[in-house]
Amino acid sequence: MMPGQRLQGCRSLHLNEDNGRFALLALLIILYLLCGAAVFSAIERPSELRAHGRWNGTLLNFSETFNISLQDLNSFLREYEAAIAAGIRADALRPRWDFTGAFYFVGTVVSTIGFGMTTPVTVAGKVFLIFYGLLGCAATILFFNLFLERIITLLAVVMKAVRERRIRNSGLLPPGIRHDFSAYSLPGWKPSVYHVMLILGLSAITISCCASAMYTPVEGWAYLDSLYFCFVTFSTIGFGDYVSSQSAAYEYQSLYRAANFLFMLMGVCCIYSLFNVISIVIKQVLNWMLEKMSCLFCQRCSKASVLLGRRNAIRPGSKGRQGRSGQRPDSDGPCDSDTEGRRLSGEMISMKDLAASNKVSLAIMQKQLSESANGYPRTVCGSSRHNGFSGGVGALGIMNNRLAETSNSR
Amino acid sequence: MKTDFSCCCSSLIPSRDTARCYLLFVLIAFYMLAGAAIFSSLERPAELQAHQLWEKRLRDFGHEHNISREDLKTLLLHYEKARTAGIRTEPGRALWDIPGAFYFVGTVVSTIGFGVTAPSTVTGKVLLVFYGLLGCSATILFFNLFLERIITLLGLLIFRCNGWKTGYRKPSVYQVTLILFVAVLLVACGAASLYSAMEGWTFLESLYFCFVAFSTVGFGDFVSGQREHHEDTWETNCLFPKSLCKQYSVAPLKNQTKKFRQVNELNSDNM
Repeated sequence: MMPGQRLQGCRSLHLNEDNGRFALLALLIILYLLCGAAVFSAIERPSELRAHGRWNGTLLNFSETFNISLQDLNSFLREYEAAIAAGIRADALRPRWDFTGAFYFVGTVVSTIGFGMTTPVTVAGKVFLIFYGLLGCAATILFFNLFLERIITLLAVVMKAVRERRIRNSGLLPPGIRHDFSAYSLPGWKPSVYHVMLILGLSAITISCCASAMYTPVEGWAYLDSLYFCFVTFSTIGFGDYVSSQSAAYEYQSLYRAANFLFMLMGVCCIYSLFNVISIVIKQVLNWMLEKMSCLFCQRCSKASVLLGRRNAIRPGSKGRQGRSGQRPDSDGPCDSDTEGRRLSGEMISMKDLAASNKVSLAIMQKQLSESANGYPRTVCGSSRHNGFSGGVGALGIMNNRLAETSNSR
Repeated sequence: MKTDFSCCCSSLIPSRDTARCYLLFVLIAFYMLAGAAIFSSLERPAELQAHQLWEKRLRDFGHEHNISREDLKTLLLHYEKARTAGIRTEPGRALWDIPGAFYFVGTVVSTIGFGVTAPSTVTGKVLLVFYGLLGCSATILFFNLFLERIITLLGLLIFRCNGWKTGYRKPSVYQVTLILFVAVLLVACGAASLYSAMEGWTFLESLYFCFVAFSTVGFGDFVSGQREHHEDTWETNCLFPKSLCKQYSVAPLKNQTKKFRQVNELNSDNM
């Protein structure tokens, strides 16, 4: 694997493409944070000052009514703070550290939500938490990443089936060839990242709305507050200002607790997948920005690369390749420029492909011939603009083929 | 990617990838049950004791100053409400000035979410949802790219250390995990010594805080940089991104090790 490819013709810029993308992303995130800070500050600061004023008023009022000095009151409240840290509240709450409470706590740890309504106070608990969390969080992140892969696969299968049905219905193929077609059709077709993002987004909204519909009557929150709680929880931010299932008793308590657990599990999986898919889109935006910037800085702008819309494609004869052992680098997909160029020039199936495929049925050849005849867009290599999944998705996708144990060749 | 068993009842037998998912879910469930039991036994006595002490204190205070139970409870409820707006007994820094808001959005996009600062207005909450969607995705991408860069860098370093003997070899996951582990330990210990000096926590509490923050769990029981006067706020806050990246990288690498073991359990032939 190569450390990175140089943008063609850009020798003055000593940054290779991967490092450039990383730096650009860091810069953009910092700008995003600064803008967010300004906006949130403007929205929340007045409210904070008002809350301070209200509290001071309440304190003074209480102090005067019951004739207690402010210092005594404050020291009492400081003790209450320590009690709050131990999980005590004015209203009776469910036990923190009975088995179900501890299970809820452990769930917030391994999912990294971390509400903070229950935290270990003993030294042994804190030390154990560190070791427990290391393994637990890693396993749960793996679970979410595997779920992400499974969901993308499932969506790809469903979308492919829908697409085939549409093609079949539009009468391109004789209806007799059904079984063969579904087994070997559309080699290398992958769903568009925007479609997947849409589907995941809708699922996330559905899950959040259903969960909020449950939380609003049971917890007594406003519907908007429940939606806010759902987002904060499912994204694993977990402020802890709202926490579900904390009261001492509920109607249908076991059912509610089970539903709470299931909603959180589904919600976190869904939103985690959504975040990863959005991050693919952001990566494509970054690539686009890098290309624009490299055109700006380097006078010789590779027209070919702009036309083909290649993302991280391997360019033939790039400098870094010399002197390395002959492995095929694999940054953003199995497409190499040769295949891509040929496909876009309208050539039919090359002899190489024909020889490579084990079972070529007449139907496939017919289909591809008719496709190109009818001007269907090539979805195999040429439209890497829309196909964000070729590089793998999520952390596991990043590591695929980059480590000795995850690649077929070293 | 997907290897389906092509037999007539293929719908019943899950593919290897799906089976791995189920197996992992079951293992995590057992892990959580075991963890719940252990934590419960560690912490329950302390909780009961804290409840007793507080009951006593509440009663004594009520008698001492001749206040009814209900009035005290009203005050405490008011205080709890004030706490969600960020008020504490100790005068702390402002929460929503620009540096405070920057700290807040940092905890949002990294999904740490301490909770010391949380939006209380409706506008703030709505904005948070949309802001968080884009910000968290970008930060996840950042961590993933960081992981990729680190693996590349380590691969190069290992290659150089071997003296260019053989051709370029991709780094082993175990090597990378070990190096990242050591790096995280170093950063955590360094950060912990800084925090224990600046925040007045014990070294163990600082280590605990480092773990909780860097793993993005973010309870909020310990939060750095909340005291009123902080000369080194910028230094302490700059440690965060670096350590977060490292922590975030360790976890996926451990995933790979786990994944290999699971694949072996499920009769792997190739990865």
